[in-house]
Amino acid sequence: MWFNLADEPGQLLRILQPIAEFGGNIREISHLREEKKGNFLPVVVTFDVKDLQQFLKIKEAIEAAGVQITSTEPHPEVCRKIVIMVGHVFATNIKDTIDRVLERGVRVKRVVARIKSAEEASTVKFILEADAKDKLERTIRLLKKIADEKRLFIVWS
Amino acid sequence: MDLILIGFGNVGRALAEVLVEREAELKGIGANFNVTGIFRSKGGFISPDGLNLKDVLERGERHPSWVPEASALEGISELPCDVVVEMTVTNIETGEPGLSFIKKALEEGKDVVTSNKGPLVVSMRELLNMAEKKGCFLLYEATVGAAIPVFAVAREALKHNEVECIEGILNGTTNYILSRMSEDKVSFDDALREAQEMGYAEADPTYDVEGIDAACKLVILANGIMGMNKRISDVEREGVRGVTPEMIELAEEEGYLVKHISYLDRERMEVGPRLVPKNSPLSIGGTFNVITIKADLAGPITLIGKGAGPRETASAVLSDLLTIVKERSGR
Repeated sequence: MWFNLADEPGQLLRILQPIAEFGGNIREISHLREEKKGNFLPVVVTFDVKDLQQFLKIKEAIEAAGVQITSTEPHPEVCRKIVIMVGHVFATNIKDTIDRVLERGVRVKRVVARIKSAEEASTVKFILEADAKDKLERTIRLLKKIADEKRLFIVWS
Repeated sequence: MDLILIGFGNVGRALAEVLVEREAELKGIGANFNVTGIFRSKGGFISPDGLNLKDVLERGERHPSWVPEASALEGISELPCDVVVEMTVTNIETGEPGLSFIKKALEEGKDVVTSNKGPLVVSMRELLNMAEKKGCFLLYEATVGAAIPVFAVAREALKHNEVECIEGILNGTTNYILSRMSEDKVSFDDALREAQEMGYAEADPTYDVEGIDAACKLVILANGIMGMNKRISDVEREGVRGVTPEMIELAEEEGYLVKHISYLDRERMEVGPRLVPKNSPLSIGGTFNVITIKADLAGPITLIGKGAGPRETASAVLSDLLTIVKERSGR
């Protein structure tokens, strides 16, 4: 289910509470930050329901909570790659590394870092998601090039 | 069928042993191999009527057929010979000495079986063209994945398919190192040292850990199965020295393993560390090799096997010899 949520604390609960209340099983929540318009943030919540009746109850409860549902289409297939980088990932500006490869329809999710000390190499893992396989492939190629430039060792799935 | 064996190291000796062990079975299927010459880098065993391989293996240079000044190039021209089996040491810079032996054999109209990557990495297209022009076989099953019959599967079972891409683990040493790092949490250096102690890795491991060996095999797969004309410089290559225990740990949290993967399609040829799902056929551990061929009709077909070892390599050489026996006898 796709929503347009005000980018303010507590907004997500207005969606999650009705889903939980009517027994929906939440699988994934994605904030599409790069597609933010004004103060409104597109959010996709993927959840399992037993039947159509349960789905309609949830939908009704969310609407009653005053949340704008933009689409109830199934989430388009998301292409995903896990990326792990080793090296001076922070000293070489990880934000710049990621910003340089992102294009519309490609996003970074769940960044995990292992840092020993400022002098030692750190290891960073993140998930790259895209709405098309070729976009993801292009992003990985560019990321590899930038990693080589910054002398980072990179692997991906 | 008269054979000349060139190169009598681990693989050459293993082939001779297998020919002795399986003599009766081979004769039973119409493969009467008669070895008229065995050449080392210096000297050789010569008998135009055929050598007794068991005696040669047992007695070595004390065997009466030993000729210290014998030359393989002369042997190819002068001895009775249908197939030259070339098993000399690999040199990926010049392809020599194997390259000269294979060229000479093809010029003389002999079929060739080789276990040596060097000549193919340097001049594969030229050699295949020479073989075609002369109506000779040039077979090289042993050069990739040792006993894994990847070329036979592509040539025979997938003859009617278009191969779209090939990927796999083509080097057992790096697979051993990465498997040890993953399974037993040892460091790269410790895993490498262990591989060297167990004889899986050379004293200078560059060839394996930098992906050069895998890149050579990828070139042979590209040219041999996909009809391309590639060289090792066409392969984008990265070794496994940068893989760390933290990287492996973070991958495992997602259900992935770090593996040294070789990949080839019409656009790309690359060797490098990649994350593969734990339940993928590419997640095989130890010193095993794995090769997946993706064909347009058949879809993906995966072969797993021992990618090194004298008897495994000899098995592949013998398989090529039997292909030639079958084709030459019109069966």
